[in-house]
Amino acid sequence: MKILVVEDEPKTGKYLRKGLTESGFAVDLARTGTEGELLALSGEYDLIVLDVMLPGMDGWQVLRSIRKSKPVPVLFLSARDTVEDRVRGLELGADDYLSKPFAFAELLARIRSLLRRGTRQAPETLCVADLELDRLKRRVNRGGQRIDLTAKEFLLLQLLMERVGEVLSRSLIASQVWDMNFDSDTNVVDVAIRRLRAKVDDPYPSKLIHTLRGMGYVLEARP
Amino acid sequence: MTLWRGTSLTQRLTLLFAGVTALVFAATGFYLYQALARQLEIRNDVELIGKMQQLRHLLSEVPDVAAIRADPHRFYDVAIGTEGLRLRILGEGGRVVVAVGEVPDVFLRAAVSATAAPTADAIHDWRMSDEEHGRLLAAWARLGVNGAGHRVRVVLARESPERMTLLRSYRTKLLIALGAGVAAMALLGFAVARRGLAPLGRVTAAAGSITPSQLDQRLDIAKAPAEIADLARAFNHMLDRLQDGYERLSQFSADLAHDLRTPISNLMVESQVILAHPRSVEEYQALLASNIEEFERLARMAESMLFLARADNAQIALRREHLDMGRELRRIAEYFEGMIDEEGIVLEVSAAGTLNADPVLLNRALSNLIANAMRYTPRGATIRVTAQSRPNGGYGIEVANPGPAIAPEHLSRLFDRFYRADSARAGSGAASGLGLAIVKAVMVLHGGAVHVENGKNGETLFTLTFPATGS
Repeated sequence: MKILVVEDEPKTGKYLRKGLTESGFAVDLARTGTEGELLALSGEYDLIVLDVMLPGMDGWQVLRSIRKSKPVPVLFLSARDTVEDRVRGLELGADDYLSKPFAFAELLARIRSLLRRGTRQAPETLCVADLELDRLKRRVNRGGQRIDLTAKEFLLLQLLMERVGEVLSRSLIASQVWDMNFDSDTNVVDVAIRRLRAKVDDPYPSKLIHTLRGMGYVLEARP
Repeated sequence: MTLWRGTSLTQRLTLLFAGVTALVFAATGFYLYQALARQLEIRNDVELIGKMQQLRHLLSEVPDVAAIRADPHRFYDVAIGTEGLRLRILGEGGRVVVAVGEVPDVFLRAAVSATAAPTADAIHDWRMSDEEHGRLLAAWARLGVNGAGHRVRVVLARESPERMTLLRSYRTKLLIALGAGVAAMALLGFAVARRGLAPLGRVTAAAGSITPSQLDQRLDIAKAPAEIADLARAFNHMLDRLQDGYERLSQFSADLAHDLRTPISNLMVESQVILAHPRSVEEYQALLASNIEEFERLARMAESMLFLARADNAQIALRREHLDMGRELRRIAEYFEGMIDEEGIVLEVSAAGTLNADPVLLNRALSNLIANAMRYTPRGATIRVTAQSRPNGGYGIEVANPGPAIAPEHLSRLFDRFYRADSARAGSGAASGLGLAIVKAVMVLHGGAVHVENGKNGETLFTLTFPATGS
């Protein structure tokens, strides 16, 4: 998967390239709007991460130019986060909009979600190691044993299993599971994860739900 | 009122004074002038009637017209003795018998008595020229002793230049007095207005000298007259509010700086300690993770501050929906389910009806309130959330939790940014100190209000009140 990052702020550009490369993407970095436009039109990218405030040519212009010829997914990244900015970005054809400061896990999750778009098949049953989740029957088994979960615990586990191997930030989890679309001071998500672990992981020798301190949570089978 | 635009109060009052004075003086002068003119006229008329009677007497001593013609001098004497008197005696056929000066012809009805003294009514005004007026009297007289002879017509006219001169000079004096009076009153009015409005000038000067650093200054009400005192009082109340707002703002800046210092200090010092010596990878990882936690705290703070700033400027557009409050409260209860359980407390929600509100903002306000309640609720106790329509068409949500009573001086400031009733708690990582300020901002955006009180049975009771909406 090839990603183009158009970002003029040197530090941001540097860590975005590093972080995304380490997450398994091939990353090109453009430092100005004009360079970004040139690369976007000449190269084949699966996704473009675009800053709004750019020297030479701003993100809106770059996007307009790209949209004339290519349907590649574009994710806007900006310190401007008024509703008007978001609406403008989405109207111009951006696929997502993330405002600074953001959690890296959140950016990764959104990039993966954009790349998956349209191709994702929701299987009836999700399986990770010996953990099985049946969406339709709303049933969870581990090693053949039935686990009773509350409605929200089920949703949380389903989210983690759908995004297996992906680090999910607290705000993403709060938004997906409880539809709470704001950053909260409370540790509701941590408590919910702790309670889910008590049912899903604690009685078993191999743990599936892992904490990445400062990042979020990930569900995966680790050797 | 366009006439008055831009005119000072002093100017207005001076003009009004002058105008009123001119009106009163003119009316008085006119009355006095008329009275004097009338008085002079009456004196004139009495004299005229006296002359007429004298002539009648003289005529009664003459047997016929021929005798008058023969010796007219006695009649001339009557006329000449009085200044400006003109005389004409006409025979019954209208022929002039005696004439002294020009006299207009006057019609006289035949029925009028020849003996009775003429009344003042019989005297007419005689307009000699534009300026000059005279008096005119016509009467019958009998010739011969005992009125035995023929009847003659006597016309007496009196021009009175003396009277006219007197009246003219009187008029001139009146006009001069009027002008002088008006000028004097205008000056006096100006002085009085200046003096009367002086307190206003002092208020203006005092108000002009108040700057942000002297917001504790107040206008002196004691010395001011009632009307100005009202203004000064209103002004002082405005200053009270401004001072309060200004102090809150200063306090807010100070609190903000303090709240920023804590995480920044953590970041700096902890990183310095770790960097001072070579460490294991795990230690570096722990440092970075700890830094991320502080950064997240800062990011949340920035987000909340931005939210509050936008709410202050009404830059947040509400996306209202009709919300089934039972469903909304259950959702929030589910959100807190785990934490409530772990803390060993109970969250009891009951709701009825629908509320037209922005769901994201409402959730944010409610979860901030509940999170706040959870911090103060002892283990085993119950937080009650009740939502229902108000009789006036509005909607009310109450969040009640048992807990220590809040001191009255804290109650009103609880919704201030970074304000913490419990100063020992300040700087603790748990709360940003912006939660309740956000609740208030959300309510203001909805046109509602938030209120807190120490309820009965040792409860802390937060009440959200939404006004009735049109839709």
